[in-house]
Amino acid sequence: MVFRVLNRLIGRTDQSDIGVDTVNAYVDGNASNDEIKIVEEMMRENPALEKDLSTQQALRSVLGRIEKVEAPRSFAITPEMVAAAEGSESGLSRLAELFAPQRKLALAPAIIAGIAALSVALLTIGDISGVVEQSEARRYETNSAAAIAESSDDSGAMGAPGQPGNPGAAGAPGEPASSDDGSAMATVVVAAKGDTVVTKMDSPAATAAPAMAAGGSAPEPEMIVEAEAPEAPSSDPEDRAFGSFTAEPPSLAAEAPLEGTADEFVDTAEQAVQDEDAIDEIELAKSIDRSDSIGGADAGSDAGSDGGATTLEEQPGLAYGQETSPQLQSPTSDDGISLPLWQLQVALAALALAAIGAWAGLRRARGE
Amino acid sequence: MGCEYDGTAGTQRSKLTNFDEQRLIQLTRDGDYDAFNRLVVEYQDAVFAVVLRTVRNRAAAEDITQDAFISAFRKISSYRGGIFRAWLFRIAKNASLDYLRKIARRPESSIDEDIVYFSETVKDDTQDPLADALNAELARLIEHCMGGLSDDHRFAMVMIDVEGYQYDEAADSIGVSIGTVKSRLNRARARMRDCVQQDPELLPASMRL
Repeated sequence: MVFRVLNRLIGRTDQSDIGVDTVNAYVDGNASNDEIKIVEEMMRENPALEKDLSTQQALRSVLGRIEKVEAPRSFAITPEMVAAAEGSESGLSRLAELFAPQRKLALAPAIIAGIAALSVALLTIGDISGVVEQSEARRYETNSAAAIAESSDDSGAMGAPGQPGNPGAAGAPGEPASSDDGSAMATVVVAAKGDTVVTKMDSPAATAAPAMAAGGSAPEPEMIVEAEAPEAPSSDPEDRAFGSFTAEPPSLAAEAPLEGTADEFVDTAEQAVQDEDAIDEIELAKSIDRSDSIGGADAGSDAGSDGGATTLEEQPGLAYGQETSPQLQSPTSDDGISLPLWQLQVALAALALAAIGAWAGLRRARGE
Repeated sequence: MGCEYDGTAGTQRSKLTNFDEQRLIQLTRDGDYDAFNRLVVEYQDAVFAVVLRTVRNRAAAEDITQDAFISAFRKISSYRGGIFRAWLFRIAKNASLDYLRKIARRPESSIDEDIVYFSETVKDDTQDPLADALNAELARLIEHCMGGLSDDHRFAMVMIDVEGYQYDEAADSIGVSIGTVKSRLNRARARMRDCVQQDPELLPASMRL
């Protein structure tokens, strides 16, 4: 509307006043009598319109006077030409042709990449904001075994009893853990219904775990926090519902005494990592936090007594491998949507990269 | 059906009836090169002209036209009826636009060196040397202005104003609706009008404001 007013003020016509069809028909000389009357009436009102349309008519006349072009040579085809074209057209170039700019699929790789990247971003944001959470199974693995093990990788042998690949941690129950250099090592053993979780933190030099597992003469551990489970191992399958961790562990430390409290354990562990670098300290602190959670029930009881043990009665249904961390305790405590988060993120990121790579490859195949 | 093509471009201007055309197309589907070459002879001038006006490079236009016919032969099974010439134009147009996109991505290459001027092809019956000179200048101006149009607008203008095709055939060739063609043509004409009026002394009196 503004442009129409401005055009009228400067004497230019806005052809939309009379419509594209009418203008084209008039310029082409194909206008009907009614259209001609409309245009002529408007031209009387606005002389600039008449000039515009007459200019276009003249231009069209000039363009129409351009001599027609004839083919400079024959474009007849031969079987050799077709064979050469087919031969030079690889499967990739045929595929690339499907995604050529003028094709309907032209934007498909970009759209796929965009959606995948957006999904990764949303998942990340959701993870940070707590809307989306890692699914329980994966979170368990991450938090209980893998993460703890990883956090301790830098500082020494570490693992859970009965867990494959952690022979050093699968030492006999109650068997002392040690380090060659005598540096601190802490072991947390929580037994419930005869099932036991062992969380062990070791110094970097604590490489004696295999030897310990082999029954070597390792010195006494500096700290062992152990929860006694006098009852027989539970046969309730629901108590053992965590994937590979449902396997029956050896009867670890079923009768071993509690030799320290969680607080002492933490102190000892912190002492052990004083000489470590900052990263190790952070990782160890995470393990401590987790272990502290495990020992939280113990900490509330009298330190150094058997009463500090976490028993089946205190934590019914505690399965082997199930930690008492609030983060890990119950899927029903989750406020967000539980998803296999990191798997989705990795898969979507890979999809985005693949789509971008495919888009670039197809462009190259088209010679662009 | 045998091919009677004698290899002389532009000399065989026989107009095929629709029946003949459909029969040739059917033979082409069966792999008959001669039948397809009859169609090539019929339409090569038109295809080459549109391609040349669009890409404005004679060598490239030849390559594109040849490739378009080869592609048409290979894709003849995808022809679903309608105006066969428009189907050919669509293949040629896509190839032309692909070429222009490649050119646009290579700033070092310039089509100005091989630009197709209309100066020698603007017909004037006056036989007046001055008029010829003015027509030559006007043709250069038109060429310059057409080069300033977008590819879509230029293709519409070439199809209708230069080559004289109907709106429906142009729409079929471009693959858009008739309304879109009219709109593009309207805008192209308006821009051409503004462009050529930058050099008003070259314009005929009727074109000067």
